[in-house]
Amino acid sequence: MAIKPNKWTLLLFLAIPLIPLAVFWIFPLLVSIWLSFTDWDYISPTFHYVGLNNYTQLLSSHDFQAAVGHTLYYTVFSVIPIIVIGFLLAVLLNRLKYTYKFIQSLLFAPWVTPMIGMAIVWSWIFNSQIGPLNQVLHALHLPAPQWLSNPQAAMWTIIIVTIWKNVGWAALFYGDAISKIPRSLFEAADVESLSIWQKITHVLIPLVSPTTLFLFIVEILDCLQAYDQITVLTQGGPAGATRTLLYLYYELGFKQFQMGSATALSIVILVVAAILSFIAIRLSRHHVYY
Amino acid sequence: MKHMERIQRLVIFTILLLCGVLMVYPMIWMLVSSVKSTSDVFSDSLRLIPTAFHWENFANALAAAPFLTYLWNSTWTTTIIVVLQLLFASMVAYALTQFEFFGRRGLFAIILGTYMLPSATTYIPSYVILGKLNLLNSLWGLVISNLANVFSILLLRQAFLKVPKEVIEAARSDGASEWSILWRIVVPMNRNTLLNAALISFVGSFNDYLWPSLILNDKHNMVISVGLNQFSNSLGSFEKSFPIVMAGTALAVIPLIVVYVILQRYFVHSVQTASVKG
Amino acid sequence: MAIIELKHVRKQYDKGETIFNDLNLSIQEGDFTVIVGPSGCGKSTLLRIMAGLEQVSGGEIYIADKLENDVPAKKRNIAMVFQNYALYPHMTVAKNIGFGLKMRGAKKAVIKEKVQNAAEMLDLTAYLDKYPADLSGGQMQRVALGRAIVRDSKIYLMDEPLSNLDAKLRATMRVELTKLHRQMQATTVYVTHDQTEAMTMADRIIVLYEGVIQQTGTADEIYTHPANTFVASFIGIPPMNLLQASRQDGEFCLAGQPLNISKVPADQTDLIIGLRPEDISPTFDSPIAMTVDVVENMGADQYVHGTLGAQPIVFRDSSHTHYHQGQSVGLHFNRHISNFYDPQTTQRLEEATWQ
Ligand SMILES: Nc1ncnc2c1ncn2[C@@H]1O[C@H](COP(=O)(O)OP(=O)(O)OP(=O)(O)O)[C@@H](O)[C@H]1O
Ligand SMILES: [Mg+2]
Repeated sequence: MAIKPNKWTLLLFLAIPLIPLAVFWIFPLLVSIWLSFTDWDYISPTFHYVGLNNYTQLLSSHDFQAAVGHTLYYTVFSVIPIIVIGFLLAVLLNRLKYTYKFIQSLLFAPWVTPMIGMAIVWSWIFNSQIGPLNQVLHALHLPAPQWLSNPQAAMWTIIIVTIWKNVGWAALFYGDAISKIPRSLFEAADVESLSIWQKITHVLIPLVSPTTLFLFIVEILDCLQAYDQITVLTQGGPAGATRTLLYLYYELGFKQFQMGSATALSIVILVVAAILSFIAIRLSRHHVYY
Repeated sequence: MKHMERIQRLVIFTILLLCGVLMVYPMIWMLVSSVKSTSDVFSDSLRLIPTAFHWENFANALAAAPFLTYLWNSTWTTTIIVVLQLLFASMVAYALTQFEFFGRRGLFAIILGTYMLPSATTYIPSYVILGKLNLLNSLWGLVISNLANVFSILLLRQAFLKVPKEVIEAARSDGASEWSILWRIVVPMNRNTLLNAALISFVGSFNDYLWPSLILNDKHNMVISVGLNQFSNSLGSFEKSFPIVMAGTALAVIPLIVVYVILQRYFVHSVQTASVKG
Repeated sequence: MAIIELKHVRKQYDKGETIFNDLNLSIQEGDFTVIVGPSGCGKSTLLRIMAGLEQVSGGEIYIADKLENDVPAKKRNIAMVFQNYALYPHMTVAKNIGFGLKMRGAKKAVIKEKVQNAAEMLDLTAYLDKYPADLSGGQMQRVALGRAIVRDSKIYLMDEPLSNLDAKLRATMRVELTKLHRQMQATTVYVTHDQTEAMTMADRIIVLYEGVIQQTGTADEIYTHPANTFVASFIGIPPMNLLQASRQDGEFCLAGQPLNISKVPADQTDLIIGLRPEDISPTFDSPIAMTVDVVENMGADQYVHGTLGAQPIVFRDSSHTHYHQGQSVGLHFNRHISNFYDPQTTQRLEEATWQ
């Protein structure tokens, strides 16, 4: 199928297009690894090699450990609802006929909007004076926390915005996966007189498992890199309660100019992302049916 | 039996409609609030129909920050980024699928790995590189640092693999060069995939915040996401500035909503087909 | 004059086994040459080597006496018709046909005229503005041919161009292609696994099997004197009877009867007799008799299958005699055509004849 092109053709097709990839992805990655072994501060022209110092200091620092906890909390409580609710929405959506497209476009709309702008809107929705959320909670006689200044609640504002932005997107993928399941499988399930619940657990969930795997990996990577909603809603606060690994990276690198520690942290994030993707793919060997 | 099914469907529709309204509620609330008066906001912020339309909120927002400049900056940079990303991605995808060369598998593995790479890992060195090129605080710096789109390469590669090899060979024996085969045969055959990639890349670039916020800091050089956040921060969270902040935010969000409404069916389709994995 | 010549060609896929080891062939200018062989024998590979779509691992390729090993497809000026049409789905029929001219820098007016001419020749005028998706299989096939025809190239390569058509359309297209060739007089190399196409269309047939050329010749030569047992059993429906005979007291015998075969090399203890079904006829007074198994009625005539000793045998009978299972039928062999094969080498014994 493939031909061996002459070297000019190859150069034309690969060299130019791959320059941006090399200059702004591959090369920076290598430089990051290198910087993480130095104490460079961006301003001074000199630096020293500090070996693994940045890593040991980082791993033992309180801020880092707290950030690991926050990141984990944030990721778990965002990804699982996105996937579960996305799936349920898609199952329900699949029962509709003429209104399918309309509802789908409503559910998916948040994905298109800019996170920065919508996080600003949400920060007002959470406002304790004029925000609609607390007005509704008051009317229902439910506890209405000070969302953005209460450390416990603050993390949930971030989680809620993340779920809101991504759940329709997940539903879209599940909807596509479900619509591709051959009718005959459901008819077979009917013949064996499975209940609705059994149909979901025995037919639907196994058959959409590739989509689940895909969403898991993409959503985890997305949560590890969440920044916009944090910077708008809480700026990592109150009292560092919403400072995730990426936010800590931003502060270390672009506020305190500790480039060594920041790059070390970015490498840690990279390793975590790689390990989580690897685990997801590994687990999928046993639980994903293609 | 028929009857039961109808009722069931009605119940499901109602539940989903509620969920859907919940999803678009923030957008609606934003639009409504952007034309309210401050007193309206305080008396009843839940009200969906304002007592009077205060269009001057928009004028005030435009006076407080150059939103039109921001929007224009975002539009032209994103357009160039998307066009060049697709141009380059098409070429790489073509080489990966049609050429045999040393290191092809390795290159593909690197591209696949880059797809999983958190972009934060590259920010500090990229920042330094842009500094060395004298392109910090420049929109062209934003453009050139965004020209690689690994996702588009993977998406197009997947599509190009499905082009029958005889079609390519027919073109070769028809005397077409590899360059013409790419642009006259392979790309037109896959124009839907290219459109999908373009839409996804457009939304991603237009809405991107962290990287532009790191490298852009002059008002006349900002893209909309950066300018908007700065605008919102400068007004603070004082309740009385709320309608103006909403007006400014609306200026940033409305273009995307308009594009979404017009191209809605393409969007849904694009994102669905993008589920292809390496 | 030979327009295409392959000398000592070797072809090996990257990891796969060797497809050709030492292949030699020459295609005569103006001929309609058919390469025929079973699936997987390397026909497409051979054609693609001629077209320049596949590199050889060794040997030389001459086109019009020029060494063209390293000339890529786009510079060879060879037109090719692909097995599954390979039309450009996003172009109209007219654009499809004209693409090769456009790529070679022809003027718009010239392209238009040539496309028009080709369309007329192929009866496609009404479809010029349609897209391939709206065409039937036969129409797509004609577009694929049209794309080759307008190129005015000296050489046309066709890879099983009729294999996707139904039987009736295939029969029509066979005639069309033959007419077209007569009209254009261009060298054509045509690949197929269908022996009917080979027999009806070819000026010359090349029989290929497992990457080795088994025989080259006219349809008549190949049919009447297959060069080896493979060709004998590959060409002809039903295939040629291949009967084992061994020497008894210096004479080759079948079913215990001496056969009177002469000029067999003295060291040959066994041989295989090749007999077409039409060269065997029933007779009353023959000591060689078969036992009837099944009868295939073909309308005009019938094929009578059975066994002679332990060996299967079939003959054609154009009379309307009724045969029944288990019946014993005496056989008479037509001794005007001599085909004898060496069981070891499977090659034809050129000298041996019926007496
Ligand atoms: N790209 C390739 N890589 C490795 N082996 C190949 C390749 N293409 C073909 N082959 C092998 O070469 C042999 C000949 O293939 P070829 O396509 O020439 O057969 P063919 O005679 O055209 O068969 P058919 O009648 O089925 O089209 C086959 O055994 C095939 O498996
Ligand atoms: Mg073939």
